[in-house]
Amino acid sequence: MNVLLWGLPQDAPLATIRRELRRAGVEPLTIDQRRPDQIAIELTTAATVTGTFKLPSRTVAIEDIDAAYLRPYDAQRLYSATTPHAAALAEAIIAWAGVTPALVVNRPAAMASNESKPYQLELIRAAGFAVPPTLITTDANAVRQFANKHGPLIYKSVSGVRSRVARLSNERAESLDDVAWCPTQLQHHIDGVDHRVHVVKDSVFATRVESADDDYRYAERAPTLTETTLPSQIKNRCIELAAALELPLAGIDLRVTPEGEWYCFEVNPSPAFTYYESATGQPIAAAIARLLTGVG
Amino acid sequence: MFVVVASRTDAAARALCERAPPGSAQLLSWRDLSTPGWRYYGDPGDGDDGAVIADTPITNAEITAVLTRCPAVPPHELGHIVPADRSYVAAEMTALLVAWLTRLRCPVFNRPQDGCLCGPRWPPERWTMLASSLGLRAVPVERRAVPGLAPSAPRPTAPPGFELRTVTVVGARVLASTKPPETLVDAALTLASAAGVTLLKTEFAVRGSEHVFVSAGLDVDLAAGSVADALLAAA
Repeated sequence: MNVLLWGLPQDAPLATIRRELRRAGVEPLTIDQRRPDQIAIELTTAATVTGTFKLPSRTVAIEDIDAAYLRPYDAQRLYSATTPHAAALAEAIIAWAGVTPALVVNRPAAMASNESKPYQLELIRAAGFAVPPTLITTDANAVRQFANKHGPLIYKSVSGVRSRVARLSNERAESLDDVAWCPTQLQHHIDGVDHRVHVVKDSVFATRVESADDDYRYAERAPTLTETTLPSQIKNRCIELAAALELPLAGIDLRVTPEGEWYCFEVNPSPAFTYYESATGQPIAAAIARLLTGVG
Repeated sequence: MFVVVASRTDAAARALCERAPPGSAQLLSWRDLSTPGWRYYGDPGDGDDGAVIADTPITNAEITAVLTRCPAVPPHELGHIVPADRSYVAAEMTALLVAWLTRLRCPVFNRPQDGCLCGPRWPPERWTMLASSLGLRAVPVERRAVPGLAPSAPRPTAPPGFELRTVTVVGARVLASTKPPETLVDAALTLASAAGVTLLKTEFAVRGSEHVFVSAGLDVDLAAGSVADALLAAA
């Protein structure tokens, strides 16, 4: 059993999965993104992909790799990862990940839907979820009309660049003409309780997140996280959505209204699941390790 | 209107617009994406989508076709945005365009795929494996990243004794400098269809009746009059 890990060894999700793999008796092949000088890759691709990965610990045939967990950081932020060899190494891994028959968590192409929130939202809607009324615009008048129709609005980034979800306050609305400079995403504010749902193929780990803030990730007071059970229809819909997006691992953001209606906002293709696992004890890393080793 | 989404340095894209009947083809400039008028509604019931092309508001219904020539909005071409914000604004603009181009009902050469505005920006390996899976003979792609050695960029070449031929798919048409054999036409169209694209440059190594897939990509030569005319005819 050969399982490949790619990223930063100190990254909590990657480190946790490595620990779980070792607990399962599997020593993973770890490509340390900070040390590209230790790694060599040679690939030959036609009807199949063959070649070798050479790591400090050993050399393994490409076709003998059974699974991979990829969690690379932005190379531009890693000084050691901006050399020509580092760039070539990253390109080779990504090229391999796109064609290998091995299980890849997650393939780069599948992760791309998250880079356009409105595009991904259409896929979420197609999977049967309710989604918030949404407008992306450079037009201040369109925002006012949208607010008149839907009431309180929040705004956030359109792309995968992380942003803080914020209410469109009266004060902020005085600067609405500024939306002309950059397409801005606004959504009807959905009142309710956040849930982060981690899907590991057919396993679902739901966490209820209680916070007074519009964006609990930036809350001044730490949110309260508790393990919870989803209604079976919502649970199954989460599994189907992750499968439709070709994501064996997904972090799905839901919110349930006081009336019991479930909305889906986003699917995160590289979730930092350790935050939720630490708070609730949910065995998410163990589930991912079982997925990688073909046991679960 | 035929809309071209391209970098301002793309002379071929500008030439395509000039080749079209006056006013019928326009270049989308990045400044357009910083102009009041863009509206993308998640629910069409909330309103009609709108865009701004060449500084003019336009509805989606008025767009007859789109050609996309770049994978993303380049931050360095956003001179009207303060430098510290250019990467973010470029990402936001690209994200909007991905959704907008995906939704348009007119022909789009090519629709966004995997976050890339102009279609699947695949490495050579993926094209070669796709060609092989379709039953085409293919030149293997070799790639190497070894410390201390110059990285080898994968560039498959024609085998000895074979001639390299470029065949371009534009919609249902296949264009080449000389008329290609039907088997080559079929191979190119099958590959484009399997990749979900309507505009594709392919290279095959040809010897007599034999052909071997070499490479494919989105870097179509617009300077070829036949390609430009075929695109404009699709609008």
